[in-house]
Amino acid sequence: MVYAKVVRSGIYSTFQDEGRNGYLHYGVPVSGAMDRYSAAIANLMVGNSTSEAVIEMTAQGICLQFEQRALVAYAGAECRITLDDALRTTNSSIVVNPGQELDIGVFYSGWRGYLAVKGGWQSDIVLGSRSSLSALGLKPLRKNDNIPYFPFEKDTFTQVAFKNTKSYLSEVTFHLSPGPEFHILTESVKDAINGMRFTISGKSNRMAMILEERLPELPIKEIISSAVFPGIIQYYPNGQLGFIMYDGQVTGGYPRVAYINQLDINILAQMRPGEKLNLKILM
Amino acid sequence: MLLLLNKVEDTMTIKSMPNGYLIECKKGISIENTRYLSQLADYLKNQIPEIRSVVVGYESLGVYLEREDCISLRSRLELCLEFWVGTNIDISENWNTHRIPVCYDYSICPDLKDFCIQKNISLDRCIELHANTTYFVAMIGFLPGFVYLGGLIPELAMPRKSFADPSIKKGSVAIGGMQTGIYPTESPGGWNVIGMTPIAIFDVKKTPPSPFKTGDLVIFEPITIREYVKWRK
Repeated sequence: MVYAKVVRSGIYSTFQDEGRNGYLHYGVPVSGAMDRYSAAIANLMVGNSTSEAVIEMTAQGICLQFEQRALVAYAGAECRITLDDALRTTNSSIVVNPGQELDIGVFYSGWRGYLAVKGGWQSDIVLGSRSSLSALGLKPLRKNDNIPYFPFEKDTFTQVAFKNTKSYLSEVTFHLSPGPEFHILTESVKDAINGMRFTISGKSNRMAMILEERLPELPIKEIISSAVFPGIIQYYPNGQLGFIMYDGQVTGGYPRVAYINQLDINILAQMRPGEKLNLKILM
Repeated sequence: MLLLLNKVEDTMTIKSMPNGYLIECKKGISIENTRYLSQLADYLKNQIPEIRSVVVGYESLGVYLEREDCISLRSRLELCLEFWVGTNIDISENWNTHRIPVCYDYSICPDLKDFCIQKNISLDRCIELHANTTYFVAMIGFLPGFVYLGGLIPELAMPRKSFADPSIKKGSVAIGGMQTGIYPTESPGGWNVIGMTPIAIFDVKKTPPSPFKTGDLVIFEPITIREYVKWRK
């Protein structure tokens, strides 16, 4: 086992894989990559199974110095990547030589980026997964952390690139299916949901993506605590809406008025604070 | 969906959730109801392997399913295929060569004599042509453990019989069209039996039951009738 040293940790960088199965009844959320699609691409570009752990970066990337040779790939938010100051491309596999520094810069489009290494990052496993969660003792990356990985030993190598047809700048509309408490919404509130343009709040995180705008307060402000699922939209007492995400609490007491398709979570995960979206209730 | 069970008090509803279901059972908050739901949670988990977790609420169950499919299976497939083409994914080149003893004798191979006559070749020549080729396992199918072998030389090709033999013996080595293969069990079939192998090529007591993998090599090694009989014992 060899190590990559964290030269710069970025704002919020964690290990994420495809999540923690089977512990929800202990209150342990699923966790895992917020944009499962980009994480999978990064893994596939280095020949990994999509279940390997990647490093998830938020808002800006990390800088790592690799002790030994490595095969890495980055996918997700648009950014500048340099290897010892030489420009490299995103969505493409990269060979890092011993001692080199891989610097992933600020994200200028999209919000989350994923760095995979061939063989997967060998960070600690807790309850069957490498996905970070503070409550389980798995904390975000810090400067000077050493991350284990397997050195890349193949002599010949074909670079793999992925043609990214996704654009993070296109108009986003999420289609909502009715949730268990959908009936508490009045017709005028439903019209407002369908008609308004919503803004991603800076208070959003891996537990919930929150929208800034306030809808009218409803007479029913809370429910008896009950299971929630990533993708469920809660209607807060103050009229704000929040999407439960992968680190979100397993049970909640706010009305679950609607939910989005699981695939849309990948898109939502790439939305930046201040970006706009539309909602459309499917009847 | 509304389920009405024996008693009105047992009314439950199932609501779709992202990657799961919410089962609501509004009987009020009490230890009896919590135990009822807790036991129901265990029961559901035991009955349905796809259920990853069941979260017990005061009046509901959250059923979480296995395999978060945030990327459709089709998309995964597409991504894998894209990367497969021209990439350096580590493939293990672990091909096996299987040496199969075969007895080419008129007394035990029902179609061998007719085969040689139709082909206008001697028995020795037939053995030479069939056994001197290295075949590859092209496909496994038709019966448990039946291997379709590629590489038969054109001179030995023989169409399937116009009527299927109701019972081809286990171990028969046969030719059907441009293919040659081995019958792992007794079966009806239309291929021309020109050889017999004394070994079992499919055994459910073994793991894996069949030693063959598509892409493996197969070489037939001629044995005498005496050796065949001895082997069978």
